[in-house]
Amino acid sequence: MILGLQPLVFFSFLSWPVTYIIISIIMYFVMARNDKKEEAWEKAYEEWQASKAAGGDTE
Amino acid sequence: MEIKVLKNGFKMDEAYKHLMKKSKGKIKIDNMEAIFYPYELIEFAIEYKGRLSKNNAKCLCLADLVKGEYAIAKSRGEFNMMEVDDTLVMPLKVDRQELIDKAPSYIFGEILREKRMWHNPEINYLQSDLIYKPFYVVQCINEENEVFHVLFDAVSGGFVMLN
Amino acid sequence: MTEYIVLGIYLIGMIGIGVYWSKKTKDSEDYLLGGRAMGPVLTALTLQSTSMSGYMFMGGPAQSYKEGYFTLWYAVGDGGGAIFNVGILGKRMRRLSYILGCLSPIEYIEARYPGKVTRAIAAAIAVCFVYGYVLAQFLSAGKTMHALLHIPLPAAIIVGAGVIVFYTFAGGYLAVAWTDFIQGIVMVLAMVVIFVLSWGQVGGLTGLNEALTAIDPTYTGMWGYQNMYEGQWGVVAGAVGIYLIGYMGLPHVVIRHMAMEHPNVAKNTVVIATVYNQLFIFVPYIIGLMGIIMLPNIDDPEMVVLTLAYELLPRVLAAIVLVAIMSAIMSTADAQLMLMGTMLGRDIYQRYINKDATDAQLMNVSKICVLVVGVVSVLVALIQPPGVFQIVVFSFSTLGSAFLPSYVAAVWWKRANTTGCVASMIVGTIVSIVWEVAGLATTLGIHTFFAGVVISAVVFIIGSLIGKPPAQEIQDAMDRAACKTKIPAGFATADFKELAPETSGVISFLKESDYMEERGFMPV
Repeated sequence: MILGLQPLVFFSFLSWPVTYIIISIIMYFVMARNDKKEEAWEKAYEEWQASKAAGGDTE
Repeated sequence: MEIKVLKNGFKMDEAYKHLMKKSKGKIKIDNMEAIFYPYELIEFAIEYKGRLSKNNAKCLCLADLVKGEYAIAKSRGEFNMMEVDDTLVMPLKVDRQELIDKAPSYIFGEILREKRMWHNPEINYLQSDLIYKPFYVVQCINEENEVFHVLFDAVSGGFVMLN
Repeated sequence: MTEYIVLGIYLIGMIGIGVYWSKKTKDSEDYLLGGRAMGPVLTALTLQSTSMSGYMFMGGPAQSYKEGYFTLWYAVGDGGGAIFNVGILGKRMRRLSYILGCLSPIEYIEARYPGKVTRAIAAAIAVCFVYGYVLAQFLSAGKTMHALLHIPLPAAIIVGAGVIVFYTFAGGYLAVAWTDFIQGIVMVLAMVVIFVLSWGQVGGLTGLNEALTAIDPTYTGMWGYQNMYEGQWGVVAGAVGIYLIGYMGLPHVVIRHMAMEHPNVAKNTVVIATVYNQLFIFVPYIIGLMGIIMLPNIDDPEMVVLTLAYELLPRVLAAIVLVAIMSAIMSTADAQLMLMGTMLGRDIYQRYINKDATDAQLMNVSKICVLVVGVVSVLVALIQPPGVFQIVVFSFSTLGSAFLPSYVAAVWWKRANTTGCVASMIVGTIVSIVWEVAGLATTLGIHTFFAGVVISAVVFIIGSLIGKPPAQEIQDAMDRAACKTKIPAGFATADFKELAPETSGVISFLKESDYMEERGFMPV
């Protein structure tokens, strides 16, 4: 018994929150790494955003 | 002809350096020339009244005079008057007045979407101006001797392939 | 009496914030639409408050009250929803919708799958089943009003619906980010307080589970109260899948991907949304379970949260919980009603009935539609009020079956085309309705959502293989969205900015004029 539940039931229903949080954190880093690969692209994008802010570009 | 040009952040030599740096020296640039793209910068006064509040704001709309598309601009930007060769200036493809007339409809849609408004805002035309934005057309050759062209945004330093 | 005072103070507070905020904008002479600067936390909370709705306060707890732990399958799916949603659609959809230049989720379907009927079908399905949500909100509002004003349910539904329609019309001024934010906080706090107090009463999770097992061991079993779903893996798959992947088929959810300010916001969203969801998606269902012990004789299980609030809290605080529920309902309902109004106005009236409609006409059409929707909903709700949970799950299943294959394939499969899209929208909707009406979920042991999505996806694939591949421009746009556009060696793909709307204008100018030749360029 875990917290008054059969182990199978416990893991089926209540083990997910922790799992999901871990997955989301892993995903954060994976996505961050992809972002890094695209860094140059991101930079160009930001410059473009900045130029929009200066009233000089279309969206 | 004399035109009003958005102040460029990148002079031609700076654009050259920027491109070389970006390509890590892998390309050669054998030709570069300016080109000026026309826009209508339109300013509107917007008033929306509710039972509880009254709100006035201004809205700047940037209309593309070649393709007839609109965008919202965040601020005016700085301009220079420039004397340039006629052939460097792209001709207008859209009627300016028509574009100005249709702009409120675009702005209306934007307000609706962004502000979740259920009342007709009043959109009044204030002024507008024909402005140009500078770009460079760049001819590059890569290590495999392929020739390709790049359009360089002289204001932001962004660039895209022309193909 | 207490309830009226609390409600009054709350409403005045909300209006005050709305007015203050609009004054502030006016004073600083901000440019309208100058862009909002909201951090990720504020954004996440705002989004959650608009999606939380009456369902989390009523439908969810009621279901677990009736079925026991089995209902948590829905929470298991919901908790991971953000991971799938952002991971699969996220950045690519944001880029593709930008490249195709469309802003509404229905426009996006039409741009990606061009065709005469695409938009009509998509809009019709979306309108009908987003309506399911609206109906659920009206019912929740009615029940809340019923509890608040102690008037008969039919009258309460009319009052509740009236409040929502009024809020929708007046809401534009109040519904600024900060009011959504405060509503979000109030809702979350209300939920947490009730949870914590009930937790103490039942003796924590262990106490809860032991008590449940003592009442009936099947409550804490794998297959629901009295093993009603024993061996029905199809139902489990549907219950988990509906919120795990179902969000990708909801027009009003995918629009958030399109509206993301910057693609790299996606990674923050995943973490914030996931953590938040773990805290607040499991909680309502568990409160429902606690209700089994604490309120064994309740008439209407949808009132579990409210009844607990009155049992556990001083009256003033209980009234605040009531207000929180009402504000959850209102902030969801006004967005959904507005979406329906816009779809009826832009996607149907302007596109098919009156092409030259002026903006004022469009606005009026949308307003009339919202009013009609309000009146019809009240009538429907009065005739036979089904449960909030059933309506939401059914609408969700149908929207998911109709749109999920189209939205996912739009960014991942180049061959995906109009034939597949139209066929899967129609078949997905029909399957989902037939399944529900014929009660196949119980007889076959396969959840409506699961059946609908699988059949719809199969039809989508067959249709796409039969039909013509999409136009080259669309395939190119997909390449760009995936950052795959082939570029001659020399630059990295990433060096090129996402899109420059001017490019095509410049290219045609360079082709038509003597510009290149005169200046010694090779032709483009």
